[in-house]
Amino acid sequence: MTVKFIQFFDILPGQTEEFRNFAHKNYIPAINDTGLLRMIGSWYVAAGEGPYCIFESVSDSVNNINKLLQLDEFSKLNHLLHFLVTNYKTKILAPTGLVDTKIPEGRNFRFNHHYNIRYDRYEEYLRFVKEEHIPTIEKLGITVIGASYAAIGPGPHMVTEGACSSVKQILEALGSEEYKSLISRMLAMVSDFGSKILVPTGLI
Amino acid sequence: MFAKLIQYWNVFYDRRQDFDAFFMKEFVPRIDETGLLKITGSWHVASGESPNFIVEGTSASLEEVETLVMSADFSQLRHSLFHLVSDYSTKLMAPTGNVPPRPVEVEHGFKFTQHFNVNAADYYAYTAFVRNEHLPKMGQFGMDMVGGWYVAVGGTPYVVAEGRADDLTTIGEMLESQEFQMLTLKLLSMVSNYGCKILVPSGHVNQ
Repeated sequence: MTVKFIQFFDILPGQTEEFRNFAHKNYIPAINDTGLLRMIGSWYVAAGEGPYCIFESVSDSVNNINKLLQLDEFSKLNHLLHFLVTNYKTKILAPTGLVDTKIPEGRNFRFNHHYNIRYDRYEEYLRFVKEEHIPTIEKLGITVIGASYAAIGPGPHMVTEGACSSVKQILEALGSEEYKSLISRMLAMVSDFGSKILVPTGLI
Repeated sequence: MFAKLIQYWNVFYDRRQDFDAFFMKEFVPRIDETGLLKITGSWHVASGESPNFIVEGTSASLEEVETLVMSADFSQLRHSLFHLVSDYSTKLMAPTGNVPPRPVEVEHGFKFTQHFNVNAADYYAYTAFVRNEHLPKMGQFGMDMVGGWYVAVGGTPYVVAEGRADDLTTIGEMLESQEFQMLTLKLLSMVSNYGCKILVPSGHVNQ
């Protein structure tokens, strides 16, 4: 089972270059060298709420992430990272099983939905996701690459991830009547809904 | 002083037809008839946090907006609206002075808005940055910067920078560019609680 470890943060004022050097030369290679986690994305939030920077990593199991979190090397790396960033928080995302998790190859852009499910509408939500939400998003040109829940970390608890080859294509989808109608319908079943467009920082 | 009233909500899905009828036939015309506020746009949040429906109205002064919201007619309209929507909230916004307000009868195009709190210690650096870098660069990306607002009444973040583009392609190209990323990183060194939204017309007021 592929699980994701997501790190959110803002870079401290005046530390952008230092952060980029540290992330590129030290942090990312050292995390990958542990063999417990593979860093697959470094993003900035082009549209949506902060924190502004996101690291995305994958692992074969929650157990591997737990092992990483207990490593001295990880503590040291994170201690150094905290000299350069603020508003740091993390989430472990586990798949809901509604979508096969995919890891896109090459440069791509992301469009994610996040929300909490209204549990009095849970069965209806499940049908909606399978029969309407995912097919419509894909028809609009965005590949759905994951549907996860926050196993550990702050809410909202559900995340649906989409990938696309350009932001322009994402915005074409978002400007369509079909998308507007889809979200109106979804809002009947979820709360705390929001979305983010993520653009690669170039670090990974 | 020119002012803007922003109202946000989510429409109950099973009442959307009733909402459309009420909004077009009663809510907008009756507010416009008061002469205190002109509804200039209604938007769907394409990317960003909900509430998902945003209504924008402009007025000649903060006092006129306050007169409207205290009136019995507005209370009655809002009471009717609450049967059709959830998560209602409002913001009363006044110009920061960085961008001269340009009132429009009806909005057009698409909006890209950035919202944040300015760090008190960085206020003067922020003001210089907005005038000398942020506004000119956003213009180079093809954005028409139509407003710089602070929230006079309502929740934080309390500063809103408002840009308009004729099409979503312009916004998409800007978001993909390294220059925009660098510009935003510089802004982030002076502000906190940063976020942004992409707004597309809901089709009710502006197309």
